Amino acid sequence: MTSWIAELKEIVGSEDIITDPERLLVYECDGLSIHKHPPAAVVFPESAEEVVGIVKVLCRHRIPFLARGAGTGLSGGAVAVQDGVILELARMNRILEIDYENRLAVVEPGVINLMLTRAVADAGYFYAPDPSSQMACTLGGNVAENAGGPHCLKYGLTVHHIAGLEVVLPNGEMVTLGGHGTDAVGYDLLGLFIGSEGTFGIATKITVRLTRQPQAVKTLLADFLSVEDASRAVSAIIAAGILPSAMEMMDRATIEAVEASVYAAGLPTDAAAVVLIELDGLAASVEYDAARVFELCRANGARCVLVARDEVERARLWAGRKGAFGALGRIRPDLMVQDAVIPRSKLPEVLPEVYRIAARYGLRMANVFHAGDGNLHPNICFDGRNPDEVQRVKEACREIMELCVRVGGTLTGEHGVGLDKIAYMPLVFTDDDLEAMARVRAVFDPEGLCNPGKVLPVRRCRAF
Amino acid sequence: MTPQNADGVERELVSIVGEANVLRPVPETYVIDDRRPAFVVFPETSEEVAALLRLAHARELAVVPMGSGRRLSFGNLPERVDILLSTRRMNRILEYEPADLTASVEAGCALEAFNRAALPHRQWLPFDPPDADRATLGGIAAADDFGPLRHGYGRPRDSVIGLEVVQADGTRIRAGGRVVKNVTGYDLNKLFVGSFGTLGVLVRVNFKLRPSPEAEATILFFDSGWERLEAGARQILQSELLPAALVFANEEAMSVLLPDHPRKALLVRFLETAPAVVYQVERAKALAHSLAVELVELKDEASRSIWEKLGRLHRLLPTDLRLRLSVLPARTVEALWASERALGEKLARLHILAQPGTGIVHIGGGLAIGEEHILSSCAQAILHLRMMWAAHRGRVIVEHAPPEIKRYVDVWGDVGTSLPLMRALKHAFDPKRILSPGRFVAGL
Repeated sequence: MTSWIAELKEIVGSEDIITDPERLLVYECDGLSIHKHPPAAVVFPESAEEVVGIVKVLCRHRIPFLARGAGTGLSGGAVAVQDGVILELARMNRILEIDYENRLAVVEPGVINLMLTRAVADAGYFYAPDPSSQMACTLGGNVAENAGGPHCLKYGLTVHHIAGLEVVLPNGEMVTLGGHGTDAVGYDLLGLFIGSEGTFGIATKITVRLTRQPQAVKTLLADFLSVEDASRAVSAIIAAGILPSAMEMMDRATIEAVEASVYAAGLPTDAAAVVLIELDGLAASVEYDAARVFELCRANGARCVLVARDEVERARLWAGRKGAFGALGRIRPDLMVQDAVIPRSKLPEVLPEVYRIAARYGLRMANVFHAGDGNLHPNICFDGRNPDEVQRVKEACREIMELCVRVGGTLTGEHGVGLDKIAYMPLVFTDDDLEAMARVRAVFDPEGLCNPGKVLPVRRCRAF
Repeated sequence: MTPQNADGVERELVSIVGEANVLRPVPETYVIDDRRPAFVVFPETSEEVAALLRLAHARELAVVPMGSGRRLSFGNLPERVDILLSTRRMNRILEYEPADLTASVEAGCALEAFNRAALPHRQWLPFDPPDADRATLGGIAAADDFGPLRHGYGRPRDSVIGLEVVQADGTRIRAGGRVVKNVTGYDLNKLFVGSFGTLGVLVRVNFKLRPSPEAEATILFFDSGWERLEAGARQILQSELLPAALVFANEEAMSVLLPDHPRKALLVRFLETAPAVVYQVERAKALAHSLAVELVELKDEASRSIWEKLGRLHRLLPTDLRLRLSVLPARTVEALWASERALGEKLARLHILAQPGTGIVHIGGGLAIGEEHILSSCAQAILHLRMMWAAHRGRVIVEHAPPEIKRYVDVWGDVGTSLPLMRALKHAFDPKRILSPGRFVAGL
């Protein structure tokens, strides 16, 4: 047996490490199945001390490693491209402390996003970032990716809701980032670490901020006969100074897929697009803004604006939105979930062009996305066994990225660069920009062992 | 810098920014602690900033970047200051697309000027740092400088979506972008925001904006002790109400803010839609009644004006020393007491502003400089306060103090386990230590 495997077994026990090639196949990809590579081994630490021990062993043997939560990521970030070892953190899933008075909770990285919100709901609180995968994804993964979700239009991304981290650095040393409820002094390493896609170290303890549940919530569904009208309505709401908690668009292809699935929400299948708009806050503001949103939708061509009458109706509308990816996944064997951001006012101009690109490559595309912040998710249904189709998917994705960057947008709003977007990085950043990022990475991981091959392109024999 | 090579440097500075944009000799207002810079320069473009840094880098001249200079006293004693680089003449709004709720400005653009331009579109940048009337947006970003509105809107760090930075060697980089949601690559915005000009010079800042509130009101609760005011703050924070700011102010602060009411007060600011402001004011009135505290309501302009005054309090009262404590929000009043006890007898006209929503406590006052041992006993008190609060994750930062106190006390306090990473970052971005050397944490 290779000596490092024996050393890892000493730390976690022989049951808690997988090296059998067949069992390793489960870990060959994340939620984006287009990138596959099995790891050399998977270990299951149960404590920060075990993570430190494992990282030190791997460091000594110069074996690359990466942390993995639930594997729901959508950029290939949790794939062990260089035959590395995966530290699967799912067993570190305890909520350690809840402090309502200071609106904080301390959790281990394997805690599932929605479980935290459920744990604090009765006391009148919630954890704001709500990625569509929140029933499965872990908070550690959310920190690594700076996860978003529909409600980050109003509440912000993960980085706005983390108060502190305990981190095992790539050399096995443990550091504290952020003040865990008070202001740390010095550089904002906490903000820098969040969204570093697992390349700066492994978070073993997370202090999150809790948010008070709003007094009132109102959910509206507006349907439109053209995607352009729907986009104009979204822009008009933003321009009117209304900040909904979420503003989500689904196009006809998505509506059809949802209505044919178990997530059927009673969406109008003859609409070109629907926009799901949620307002929350003080009842007085919500009522007032709902009336304005209603008018703005009608003025921009909405055929009908429905208001959810109760919690059941509201939950059904959201189930349709959150189940959209699952519903789309049924159409063809594979689903390319894309992610790009454009300035919100460009929606009416960019969306039709995105459809034209897909049509030109003969691809079936569905758009379901966070319209309020201009975060597009063009999804392409395809068959991964057909190499020609896969090639067309790749070329269409590149054209979409180029289009988004051209109008002042960027490559990813919440899924991360991972493996999937490395090639596009020079579209947005100069060599000098990338070199500065590489300098930061080298500060955290001078040996280049922590989730190598992700985020930054490699040029002239060195990683940026 | 020796007087001989100063002449050579002056010629080069003039050739980069022009005669009118080099200030020499340097007047008193630009002295940092006890150091007088050899030159103050006012570049007008980012190309000029890049050329200045190339020069400084080649000759290893120390550069302190600044906006309006309103925070020049914030920091440890500088090791060296050769050139004070002001971005004040780079003050244009470069892009502002109201439909996107985003804007891109030159670093020297004033907060007030920007908010005036955004007003017709009913948008704003919700920042209220001390001396907001003088603040530049680059300065706000570089210091991550906040005021009471942090409670409702977060820190400037949370609103910066993109930057252009001139690095120590003069190369320019961009971080982030112009969209409100962005995880493309490492978020270098976070590295530079709050780095106090020690890693690069910010020349352009992109922000996400907020819709400006339709209505505003401030409710003040008055009492002779803190207990009922604290109960009021706690009840508001645990209710459905959404105040934009909450501040406790002591008698001394109130004697300036509202001279007719020189008593302990809790100020609560509501910024919302008109019906929601009416609703919240009614709820606050009912709460004041149930707590049996006195209440004053300020509307619109009167409300705006008291908060504007609060941001200038240190100019309206003697403030030779000013500390900022950051504690867990539930301990705000405890920290207020503790700092009053620690410094009450040493500072004249001691004024306190404390934010129960964020746990930020500001304490300031005048120093009888001539008095024997006053400076060393103040330094002792700061260190004692710092030690006491370290046990509760609390931090004590010295925002303003005479150089004599800075010689005794590191103004930032202990950094913790992440200091080696910070040192390595400083080395990676400024290996010759030409950017504000000595002023940041641990003398970086």
